[in-house]
Amino acid sequence: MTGKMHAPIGIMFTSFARLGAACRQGANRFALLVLCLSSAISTAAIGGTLSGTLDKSQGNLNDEFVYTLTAEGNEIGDIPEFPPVTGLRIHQGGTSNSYSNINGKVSNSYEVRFILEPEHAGTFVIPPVTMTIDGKQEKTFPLKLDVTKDQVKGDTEPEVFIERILSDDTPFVGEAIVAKTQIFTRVQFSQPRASVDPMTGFQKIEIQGEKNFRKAVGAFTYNVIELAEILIPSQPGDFQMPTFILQTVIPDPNAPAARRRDPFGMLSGPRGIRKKYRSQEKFIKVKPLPTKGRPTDFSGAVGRFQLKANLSAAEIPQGETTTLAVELVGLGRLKGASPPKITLPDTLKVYADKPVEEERIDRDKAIGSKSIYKFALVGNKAGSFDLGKVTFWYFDTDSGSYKQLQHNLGSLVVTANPQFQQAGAATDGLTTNKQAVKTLGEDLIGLHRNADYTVDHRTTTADFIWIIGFPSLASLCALGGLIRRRLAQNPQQRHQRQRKTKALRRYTQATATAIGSNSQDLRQAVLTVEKAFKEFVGDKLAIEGRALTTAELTQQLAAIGTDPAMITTAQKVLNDLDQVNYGGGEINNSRFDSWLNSLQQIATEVDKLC
Amino acid sequence: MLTTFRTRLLILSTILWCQPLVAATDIASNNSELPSGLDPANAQATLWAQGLSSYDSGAYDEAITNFSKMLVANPAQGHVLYNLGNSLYRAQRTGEALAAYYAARRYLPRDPDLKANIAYVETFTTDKLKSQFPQAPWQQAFFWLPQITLTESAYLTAGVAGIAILIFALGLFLPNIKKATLVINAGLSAVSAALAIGTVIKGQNFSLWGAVTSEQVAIHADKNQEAAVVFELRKGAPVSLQERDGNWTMIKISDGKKGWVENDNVRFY
Repeated sequence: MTGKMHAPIGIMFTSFARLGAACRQGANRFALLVLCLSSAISTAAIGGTLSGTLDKSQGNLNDEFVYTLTAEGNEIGDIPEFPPVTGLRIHQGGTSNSYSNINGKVSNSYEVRFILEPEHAGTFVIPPVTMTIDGKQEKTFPLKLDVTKDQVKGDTEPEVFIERILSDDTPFVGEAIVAKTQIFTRVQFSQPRASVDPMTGFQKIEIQGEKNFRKAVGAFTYNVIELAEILIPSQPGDFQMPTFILQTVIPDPNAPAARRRDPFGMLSGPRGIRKKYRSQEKFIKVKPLPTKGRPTDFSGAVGRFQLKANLSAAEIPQGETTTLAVELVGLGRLKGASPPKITLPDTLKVYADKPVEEERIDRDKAIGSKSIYKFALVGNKAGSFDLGKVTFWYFDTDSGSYKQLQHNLGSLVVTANPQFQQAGAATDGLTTNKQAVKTLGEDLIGLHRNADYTVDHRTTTADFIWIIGFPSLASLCALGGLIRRRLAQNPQQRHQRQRKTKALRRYTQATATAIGSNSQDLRQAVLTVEKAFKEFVGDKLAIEGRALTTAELTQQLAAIGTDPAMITTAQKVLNDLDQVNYGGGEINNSRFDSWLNSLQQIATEVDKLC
Repeated sequence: MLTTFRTRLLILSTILWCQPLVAATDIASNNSELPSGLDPANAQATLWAQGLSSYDSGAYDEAITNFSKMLVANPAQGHVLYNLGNSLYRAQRTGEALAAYYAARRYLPRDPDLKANIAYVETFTTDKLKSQFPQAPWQQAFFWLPQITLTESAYLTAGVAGIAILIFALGLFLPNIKKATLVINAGLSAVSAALAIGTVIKGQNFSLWGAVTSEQVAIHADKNQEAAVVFELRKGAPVSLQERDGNWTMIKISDGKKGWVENDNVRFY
């Protein structure tokens, strides 16, 4: 179907008619010139065309329609927006452009494709599209599109269709149902894209994976892809399941056989046609849980359940533990439901374990649940105790009424245990209880019974006294020691002590000064070093060092336990220095450095010894 | 030289030992605002016995009343707070139970029962937040801090510093052992300094932790209902008290986020 307007053709035919008349009338060369001019103008004017076409004028809701807008001319204006059409979803499907230059004549061709997706059945009119070509406003003809709800005639067995199946379309609030989406296909499709709007009023649990099987429908056998999810209604009311939409590419039935066998277009170029499939409408009516007959201790569980219970030991010695296990199993959710009611005698200590809850998701049975509640029972008193019964109220979806499950727990015999009574007197029977609970590890640890509750954990005045007092007393002792030490020393002793403390530093400073001055007067430097060393020894030993002879000095060094080899070295160095200072002995920088090193070693040793 | 060194050491030790004292003073002054004046001992004993007995008989609300009354007289009783936490949990008041446990932890930081119960009750919370602020890497060197109370830390610091000073004094009176005393003294001074710094950190980082008691609560940017909601917390989420202003409390959670919440939605003991 084409909607096309070719405005300049009329002008061209008029020109040719006039030319023919002129010839017949034997016109002159001027007429020929007019002919050529008219021809040139007409040829240029032919380029300005605009056309709009639909790939098909009728189809069903599963179809996509392609509207192609083609513009030809020298100067093509901006591509216009597609005019909005109520009930049609429009998006651009691509563009192509071609350019030709024949004997200097330039021509452009521009093609834009729009994909039209009908949202409902009916007849749609696509209004004219206006566009500027070669400075003129061109427009297409309006087009009509018929969309039917069902398959078009002659297509009774569709190549692809979708079904949505509910395990129950009238569930109760809280009842888990299975919603399946089955995609039937008898052709090989590619590039599938599924979409479904979110559903309100339901809790949704996805079932991972898909199920694939084959099923005969009419004259064809279809491949079926089944997706499933669990829906749990959270409120009563009428709900419509959102439409499941599958967009995919299927082989074109009109294409050559070779191309149909190659739907992915790997060998034969462009492939099949894009199609969109929708599931049929599906409604769910969610029924409220009846208020009539609802027990006060209704657990909140909805489904079908069974109750079991057992004791690990029906007879235990006093102070020992037995475990009561209550098991609820069935179809439906137990998560969030209240636990079964148990009323145990006060003569037993009861410690509840953390419940173990298991849930199994099944694509046929929805949700299978199992909850195990364990209780550690400790017999503190001897005797036989009736444990009563365990009860559980739930809403039964089969009968549509509230039902109570009940199990008689029988009795527990606690035999007398003299050891427990002795321990109980000391610990109030808690050791056993606490250990039992710690073994279970899944409940609170009991009260602190024998703790000293009178302890004030704040920082009290007594704390302050201790925290301040002890270091203060120690500091006073230290201060006393320092004062005593100071008082015990007279000024001369203090002076000597200070000289002794600073002796090595003074010696090091003096030798540094000597080294600095040796370039000017090496002999003077040697004299300074010898003097400084003697003063150092004097300060350390609290004697007048400057007056010491070499012999006296070596004696003093020996007296404080200096290494004999070091004393020998000291003696030799001091003799050498004496020779330089008083005998005019030979001196050079090398010898000076050697003496300095030796004396420094001796000084360090003396400092350690004193 | 030695005298000078020792004098300096004495001054340094004194300064270091005074620091934790200052920190402890801050906390003690905070505590002094709390109700004081112990009830007669027999009244406390009666409440304690009644609390235990109510708990055993399953009358948890009664147990809560008895233990709470004990705390009015003295709110710094770790064991009473612990028992109150158990009673609150049994009464299905998880948020308040955690608040009581966090308060008990201030006084019983090494109690294994308390640690186990906090871990257990925290499994029922939804937000899974931590009940302490993350420590800077350098602060993690003070590994012992979570295990001791502030008072204990101050005691330790004062004790070690005192021993170091005593040994120093001994060295002054007995000059023949001065070398050995110097080494011991240096070691003890280093330990004392570390303890003192740790105590100061503990004092500065002191936070009163409580928990959210409402099922779900919006935390606002300012102290009014119209202020923007910064984040939301659910029952049992641990929160630290920052500031109180009328009916509003500024709280901070372990990841550092702050906001205002109405007093009714959080509990601090």
